[in-house]
Amino acid sequence: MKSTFKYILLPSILFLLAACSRPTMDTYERFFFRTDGADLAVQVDGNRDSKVFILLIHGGPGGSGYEYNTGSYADQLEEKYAMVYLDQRGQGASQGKYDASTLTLQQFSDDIYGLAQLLKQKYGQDISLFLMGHSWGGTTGTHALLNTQVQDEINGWIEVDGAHDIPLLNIEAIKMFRQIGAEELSKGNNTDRWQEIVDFANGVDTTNISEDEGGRINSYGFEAEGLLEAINEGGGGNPSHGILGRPHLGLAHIISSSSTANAITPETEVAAMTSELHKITVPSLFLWGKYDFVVAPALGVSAVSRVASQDKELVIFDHSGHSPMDTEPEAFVAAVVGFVERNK
Amino acid sequence: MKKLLLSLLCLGLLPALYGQPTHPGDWALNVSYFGETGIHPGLKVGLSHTLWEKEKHHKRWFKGRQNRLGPKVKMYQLFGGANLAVYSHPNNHTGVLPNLEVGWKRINMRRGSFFGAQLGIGYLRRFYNVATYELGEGGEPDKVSAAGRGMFVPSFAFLWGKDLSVKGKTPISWHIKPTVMMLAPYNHTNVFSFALELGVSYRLGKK
Repeated sequence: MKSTFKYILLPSILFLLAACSRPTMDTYERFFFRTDGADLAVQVDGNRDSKVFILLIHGGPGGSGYEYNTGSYADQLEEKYAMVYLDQRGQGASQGKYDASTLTLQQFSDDIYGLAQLLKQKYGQDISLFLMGHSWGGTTGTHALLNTQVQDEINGWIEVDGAHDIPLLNIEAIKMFRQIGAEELSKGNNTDRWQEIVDFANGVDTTNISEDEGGRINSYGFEAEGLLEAINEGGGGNPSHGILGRPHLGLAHIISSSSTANAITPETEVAAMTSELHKITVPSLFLWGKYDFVVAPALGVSAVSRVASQDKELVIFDHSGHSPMDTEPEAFVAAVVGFVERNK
Repeated sequence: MKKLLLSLLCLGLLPALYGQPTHPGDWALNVSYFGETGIHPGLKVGLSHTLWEKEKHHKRWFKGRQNRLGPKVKMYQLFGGANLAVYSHPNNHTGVLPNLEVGWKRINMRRGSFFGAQLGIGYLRRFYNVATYELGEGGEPDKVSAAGRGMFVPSFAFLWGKDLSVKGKTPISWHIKPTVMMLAPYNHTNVFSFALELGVSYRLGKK
């Protein structure tokens, strides 16, 4: 019996204790939001007393809100405001049972709108709610602004390198590959890699970009970012949970996220919302990395000129690519805080 | 209480007298650490029943060993079982998984080591361990009680272990069992998950 305790029960008890660890802050809350067959995983982290909530829509498709709850930008924003990290349907720790045919941009938009309503019901109608979308979160976020009543619920929209027009971003990425690639080649920097990228870009017919070419533009975009010295190193983060307490660790979540990405990609690839941006009337902040090949800054320039918002601003980060929150966290936070304080 | 202790003592002593692994008709009590994804801790308890067995003798390749140890003796067994696993995925859910299994194993009758494979079918009920809300008809947040999701779980597992009763009198075997589970349905699709079991089986004999 002694050995049974020593070798089996004791390790099990220690495992149980370790696994129960979670953030000790009383500013942390997790819950599921049940809507249209899905149980969407939501974590609220930060200063709820501020009565300012920023609902962050993650990138992907196939990402999770949890991945954004790390790094000094998150720590700084959570100190001032409550950050709401949503795992969109089919991704991260979100679960449920629904038909694959419901995986549409309209459904993702309805989820965002529903959660915005829930947050105001749960935390009070007097809270100030901002929507922040990064990358593909800019696709679903913009779609929600244009196709639901979410603008009635929020104080402002923050788009971070957001993919609100995929056909346009592919064209702009090709232009950047050609231009910056030529500059880097003339400087003799990473010539073998840049030559391949420039050759690829020169071979693309920008009037007819296929889904396969779109995928390669995305891959080369991330690679090109890594080849530039002008971009700061990404800062390390403080994960919100240890490995045992992570809400979405597991093979099931990885497979589901990947399957969701495959299901929504065809609709996403042709999502072009530039011509409708004039319907956005809420205060809007556009944050872009100067060297973002994945979602070119030209989309931010176009968006800020098109939205009908009274308070609108574009901030370009000179030492960033696709994720300025990681590469220039102080400047990123300053831009967000300035915008929120003006509009809360 | 004394009766209970006496009963447990008898249950333990009787099989010990046999000094043999389980045979057809024997029951065994299984208790395992059940780690969903390996690290989400849980406990699995169940009974297994030996359904069939066949002993095979194989001549050893080396004559010296054949003379010294005699032939290789392998015991092939089929078994079935029913069990219940409960585990906790922190910040997500607590899982309750009743499960039926059938398996095959080959026991080395000199060392007691064995390996085998198992098929299972279960029904996993996940109870979320954080609150769940939905919007009511009037737009108010309704808290869903005992929220969670259910799914069928076909599974496949390999097992390795050692039956201590082969060499000694202890009616216990231990095993390690990596398991691949399908979760159906999960969101809009079916997905795979993984579990790791580390357990002991206590031979109860024929009941």
